Amino acid sequence: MNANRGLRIGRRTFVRAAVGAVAAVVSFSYPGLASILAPDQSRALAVAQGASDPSFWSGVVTAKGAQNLIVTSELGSRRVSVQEGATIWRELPVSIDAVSLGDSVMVRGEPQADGSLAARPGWLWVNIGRWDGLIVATVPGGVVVKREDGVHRTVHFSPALQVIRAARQDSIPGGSEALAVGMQVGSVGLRLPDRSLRATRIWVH
Amino acid sequence: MPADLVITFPFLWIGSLFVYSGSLKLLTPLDERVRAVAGFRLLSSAFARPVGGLLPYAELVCGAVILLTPFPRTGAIGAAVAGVAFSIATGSALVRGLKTECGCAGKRSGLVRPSTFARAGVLTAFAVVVAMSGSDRPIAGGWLVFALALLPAGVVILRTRRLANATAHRLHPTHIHQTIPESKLG
Repeated sequence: MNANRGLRIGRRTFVRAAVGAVAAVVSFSYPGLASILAPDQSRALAVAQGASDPSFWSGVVTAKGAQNLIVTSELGSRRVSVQEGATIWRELPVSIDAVSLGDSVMVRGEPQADGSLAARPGWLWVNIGRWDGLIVATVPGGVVVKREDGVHRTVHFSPALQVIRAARQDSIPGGSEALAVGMQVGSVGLRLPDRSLRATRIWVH
Repeated sequence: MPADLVITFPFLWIGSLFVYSGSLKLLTPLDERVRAVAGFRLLSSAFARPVGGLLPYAELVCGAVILLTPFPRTGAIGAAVAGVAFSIATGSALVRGLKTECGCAGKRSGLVRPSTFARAGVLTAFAVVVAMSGSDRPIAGGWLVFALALLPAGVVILRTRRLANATAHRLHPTHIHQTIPESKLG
């Protein structure tokens, strides 16, 4: 009786173990298959975000005034006002004069009654990009990072680069010198015309 | 009958693995394939380029011969040769402590790990066994397995197109501010 009780395994535990074993066998037999078949939500997230958060807007600058921008996305156009003298991120702090038509903009601010958005100072980012993945090579002044879907991008080091530990959010001794092949990293920075990134912040997982 | 199954199963696995792997490699740009081969530091760049260029086709042919033709043992001999090469490459990378991509699944490849070496070893052993003891006749269900092995490559093609449409003018999705603390941006 006691022996039987000792051998009893919960159904949930058994199913979990069985699923885990099958997954292990499949991923051993066919490398990379699990990541290919995992649900892909990147597009849904991209669209849903813009529609659901009234204090955030992103798109392309389609018109520009002295203190405002018209930012157009697939969801429509929105006027974004910028306080006089407020700084804008474009790798380094710049003024609205440095924003050009066709630039890609992300902004967070206060929604106005007329539907426009008043940008918070320092919370308007121009041509900002993000790239996460595995460092697969180092190049002079940068690293090559492979994203989960296999696409590679060169991440150059900005003069304003900070390299931090993701978990503790503190600087890594050695900065960019500490980055090496095999590290899992995330990065944000200025998108360059050749689709590479000049990172102002790299965090190491 | 059980003996047939014992031989058929390795044929199906080896054939499908080569079709799966070769088709995913073909979706990877040549330069990245060459970089993956060169990452093992066994071949000079003059040899890494043709190897990176031809390997996907060789794997597809090998898998197709096993799964679709009446000569699966011939394909298994090719798989055994490839398996030995993969074992040497991954084993030497591990011994030398190289952190390099295995390149097994094109862009979806991870770094070379002991499991990569183990897989190459199992592949080689199975290929040698079926090449020596299997019979040359069509593999039952070979066409179906061949088609299934091509499915992941189809999924990758569809997803790449969707992602390209969603992120046509940006490197990242717009949920950047959700996934990074906002105060840390820039």
